[in-house]
Amino acid sequence: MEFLIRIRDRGGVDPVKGIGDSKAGDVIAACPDGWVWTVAELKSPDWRIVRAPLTQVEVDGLLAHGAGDPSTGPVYKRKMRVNFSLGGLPAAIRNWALDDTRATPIFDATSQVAKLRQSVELKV
Amino acid sequence: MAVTTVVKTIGTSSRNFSTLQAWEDAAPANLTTAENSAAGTFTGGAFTQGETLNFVGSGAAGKYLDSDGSTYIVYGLVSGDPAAGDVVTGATSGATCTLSSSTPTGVGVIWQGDCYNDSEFTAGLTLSGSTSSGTAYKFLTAATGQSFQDQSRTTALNYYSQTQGVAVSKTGSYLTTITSAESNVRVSRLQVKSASIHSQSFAATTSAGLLKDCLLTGIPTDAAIAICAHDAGGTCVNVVAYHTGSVGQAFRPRATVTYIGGAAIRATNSSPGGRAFDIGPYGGSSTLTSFAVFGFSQLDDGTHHFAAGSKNNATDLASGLPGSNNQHSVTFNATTPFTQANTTSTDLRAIGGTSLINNGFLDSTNAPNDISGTARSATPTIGHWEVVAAGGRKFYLT
Repeated sequence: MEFLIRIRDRGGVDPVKGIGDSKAGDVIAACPDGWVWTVAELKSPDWRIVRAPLTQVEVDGLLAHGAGDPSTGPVYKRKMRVNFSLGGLPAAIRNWALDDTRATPIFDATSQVAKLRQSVELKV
Repeated sequence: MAVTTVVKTIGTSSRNFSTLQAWEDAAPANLTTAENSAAGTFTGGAFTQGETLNFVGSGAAGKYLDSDGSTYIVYGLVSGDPAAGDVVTGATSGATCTLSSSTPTGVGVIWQGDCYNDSEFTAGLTLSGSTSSGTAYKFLTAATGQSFQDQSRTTALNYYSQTQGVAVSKTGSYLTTITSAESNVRVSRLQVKSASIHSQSFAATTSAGLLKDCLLTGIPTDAAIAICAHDAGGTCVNVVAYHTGSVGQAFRPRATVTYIGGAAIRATNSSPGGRAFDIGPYGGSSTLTSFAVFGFSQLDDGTHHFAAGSKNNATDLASGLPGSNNQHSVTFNATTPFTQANTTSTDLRAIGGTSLINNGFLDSTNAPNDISGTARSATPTIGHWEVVAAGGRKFYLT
């Protein structure tokens, strides 16, 4: 699958009740390998695209909205995020994620999917 | 000051966005403060969607939304106050233009997504997070010529078919295909399906939204699930909820919802059951006008009802419609009052000769047309489809 991921907060509204705004690390869309992305999707500095062979259960989890703690927290647009800044991630991914010019528009993380999985966090 | 409509196309790679959620995510954080300013001297190529804009001169900052590349630029305002002569510079693209005036020509944007029927949209959509108003909001619709609404009125109106226009579906139990969690959202001219049991086609959890000219369908399969749910109010004009299960509701107005000219229809080849509306304790001010309700075991839960101001509705049920000028016990089978109400060869156009004709109420402000875009008559047909007298040529014998 290929994942369109927001790299920085949109900066909008986060209601305590209801679904909040798009946040850094949110998976915006999950599409089949070879998906023909648009120019905006390939170039916007707000997004990155990663290719990784995740399971459908994992994909569903990345796209689900919900609260880290339903009793207290806001409901997030995505309850999990991909944290590209984690030290455990290969430097190649971390550096690629920092490049707003998106010189390499899609990062193929197929060979590093285990470490990519470790970068997925539940928002709290 | 004028509000700017920013139209973005959604479909395959030749459009602006290839998924509904990418279109939504590209919207500005604040729709009400985004500005449209006159500009000139565009150099350095095209700006990049969503890039940071530095207003060199005033020091203001923004996010790029749109431009024609020669006379104007639309941006989400992040900080500062842009001024005449500012050189607007894209932080990523390096493109520039020069502002012509310190006063924008427009404040506030309608972030409009025009869907193209390139293929079925299968990922669903959640709208949330942007600051909106009654004049600056997100608006999802079908591009010209891309909706079921654009097909000939002589063509059958299926409850969900991508061949007849833009279609949005989602697979998975306990999911919602389109969730509107942001006030003032508008959705029109779409077919929306929840493809799995225990799921909703459309759910609005915030107020003041408008759902217009849409075909919704689902198999709720759960007494607590509705095809179309409103938890905080809204308006539904010419919306059809076509129910293909035996349990669950067509509509759920859990706050004040205004229903005009739509229909709740349960397929004639489904097992009997279901409830057309689940009003609940906070939906009692909702009104039902010129609405058709057919095929359900119950109109509502028997405890909570529509407001008495409701009128000109029709149902096959023996009683229960609120307000005035209603019709009960209207015959309902596969071929009346709709052309074909079963799931195998569905055609949801109202037939000629039905008692629905000329017994509706014309709301010329909110619902001047039917779901096909055809003008309603002064005494319209009840439901989503206006039955129009067949045209013909006069021949005078001499």
